[in-house]
Amino acid sequence: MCDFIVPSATNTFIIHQSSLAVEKVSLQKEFVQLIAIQQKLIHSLCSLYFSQSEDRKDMFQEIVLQLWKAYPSFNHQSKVSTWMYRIALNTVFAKLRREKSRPKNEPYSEYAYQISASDNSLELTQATEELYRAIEQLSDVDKAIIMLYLEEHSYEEIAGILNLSRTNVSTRINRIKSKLEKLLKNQLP
Amino acid sequence: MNLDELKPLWESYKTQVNDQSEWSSDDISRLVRNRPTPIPWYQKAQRPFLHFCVSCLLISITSGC
Repeated sequence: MCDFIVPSATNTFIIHQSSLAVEKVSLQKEFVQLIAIQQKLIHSLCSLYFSQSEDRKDMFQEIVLQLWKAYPSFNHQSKVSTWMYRIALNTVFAKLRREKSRPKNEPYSEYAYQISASDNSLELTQATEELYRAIEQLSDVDKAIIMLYLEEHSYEEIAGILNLSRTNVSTRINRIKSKLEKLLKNQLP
Repeated sequence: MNLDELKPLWESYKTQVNDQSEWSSDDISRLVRNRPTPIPWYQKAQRPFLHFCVSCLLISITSGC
């Protein structure tokens, strides 16, 4: 009796393992496809918070890995972009917090100057460059709010993503509007 | 100024940024496949456990047990 049970249990185990592996591969394919389509969103987010190309690349990788980690538990109840923004912004803010808490007592070196001088900055048309420069001057949270607003998220969604109240979002948007108005006064018709 | 006026400009910004930074599906796939394996929970607990054991040992020695 035992002779029959053991091989059959092993077979079931092997089948179960292989079906898990197949499931993982299909999940991975699905995820890669999703990121390939939606990567624009992550790149634009990274470019707003990090001026160095290497930092942007690192951040992109970190966000994709965080999304991949969270993907199996994503239940499609919210919009994909909302889910992606929530994780991406949390990752960015965590990184910025880490950077701020790091002591800045490194001596000035010529090498560091060369890196910042070369900058690897993005090549943008004049109008988009003006928009980028204006948004760059906002605070970290305000940058996220204006980005989500321009991505056509509702006030409720923005509040949900950033853990703010709807009133707070609405007040901040009004403030951002007047700030951007000042900054872009000369550029817009 | 209406903020909605900035939406087409934002779209164009996104497209320009993406054109310069876009990753292929293969690159993304490679990144996801090669992600570091998660650290098992017991490895995180190793050091505190060692400290606890050393503390117990020292207490037992100093108290004469």
